[in-house]
Amino acid sequence: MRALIIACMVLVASTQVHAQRYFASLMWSVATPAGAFRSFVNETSASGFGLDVQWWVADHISVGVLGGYNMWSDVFRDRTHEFQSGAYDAAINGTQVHTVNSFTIMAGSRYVFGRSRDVRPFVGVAAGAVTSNQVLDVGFVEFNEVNWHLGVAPSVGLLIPVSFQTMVDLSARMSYGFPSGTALYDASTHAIAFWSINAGITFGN
Amino acid sequence: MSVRRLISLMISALVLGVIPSCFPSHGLSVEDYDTVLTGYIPGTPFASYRTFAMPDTIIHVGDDTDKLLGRSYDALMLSTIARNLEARGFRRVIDTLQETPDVMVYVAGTASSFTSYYSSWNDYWDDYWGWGWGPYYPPYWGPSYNSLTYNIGRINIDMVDNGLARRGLTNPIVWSGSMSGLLAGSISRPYITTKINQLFEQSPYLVTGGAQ
Repeated sequence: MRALIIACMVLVASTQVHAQRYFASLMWSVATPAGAFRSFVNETSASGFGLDVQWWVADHISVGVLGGYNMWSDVFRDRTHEFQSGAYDAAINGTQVHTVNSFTIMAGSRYVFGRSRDVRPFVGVAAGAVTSNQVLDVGFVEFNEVNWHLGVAPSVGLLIPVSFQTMVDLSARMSYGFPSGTALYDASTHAIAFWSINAGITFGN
Repeated sequence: MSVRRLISLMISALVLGVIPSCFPSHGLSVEDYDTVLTGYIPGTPFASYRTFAMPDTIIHVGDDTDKLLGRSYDALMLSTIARNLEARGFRRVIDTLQETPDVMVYVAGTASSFTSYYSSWNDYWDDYWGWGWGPYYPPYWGPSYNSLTYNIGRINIDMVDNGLARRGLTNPIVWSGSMSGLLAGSISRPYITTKINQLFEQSPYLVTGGAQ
């Protein structure tokens, strides 16, 4: 964990030195949950976006910050949810609407292969925070659980030049938020994990 | 273009274009708002219970309940509850003067009407263009206000321990179940039976040690 924090600090500090060359990607994100989290929302959702701002610190290396939002919502009919209510152990059955809102705020770096003006593959890694807001609605009752997770997000992708200062940014990313808080589904811990395909437009040079 | 300006532009595009389209409607029907809720006090010695008694009337609570709930399904509900308890080992006591049952089961119903008010610009435009200049001439530059009334009903079943002190319990209601939902859509005998059966299906602990 200490190494992770130091790495993030180095990445952020290095952006102060090379702030004159940057690129920013605005991305549409299609994401699908992974792991036990999938039992809560089992759908691939196109409701997501991301913003990634990177500064060049070397010929092939950029560092920056990325933010993102993904949302999933799924319906399960005739489901029973158990919970505690005062002195009672309770259960409620009905049509459940499960919704998860997740924000990602991370510092990250990319290693971009190739040369400017070429189609440039890249690999990236980011670390920071992932939030998860689990909402379980059944009838007129709502259960809500908000958690912050330490997270990591490795990615691979392509930068495809379109014009002098514009590129298409395509990437696949695995986002993982380490266990935190309580799961509103049948799991002993709540770790948020999802795969995302991100496609967007990049401005800058 | 500065970084700050670029990021502001991108965030504005997201807020205006993407976020409003993110929230799906699942096309839920009236029945999707029905719930079956149960609760029990942990540690209750359900296995030690043998007998129950239940009044043959569903108590209506509240001024609107008689009108909204009616009594068409009372007999069905009471018989379905009794049948479920008997299937779990309980024996029904009819004459409580002759025999004191271990638990009393009370069934109550309540129903209420709620009215919500909301403003709508769409209605204004629909009416405006649909009916020409008639009803809204000169044009009314503001929202229209509408109301929506919905009725919510609930059936509550409470199991009360008759030997509270003897068993060292402090809360007399050892098990409670309720069915609730919007009083609309297709309420039928199979539907009510299914919901009452669900009350017991999600209460697997509610089994006696055997009737005597």
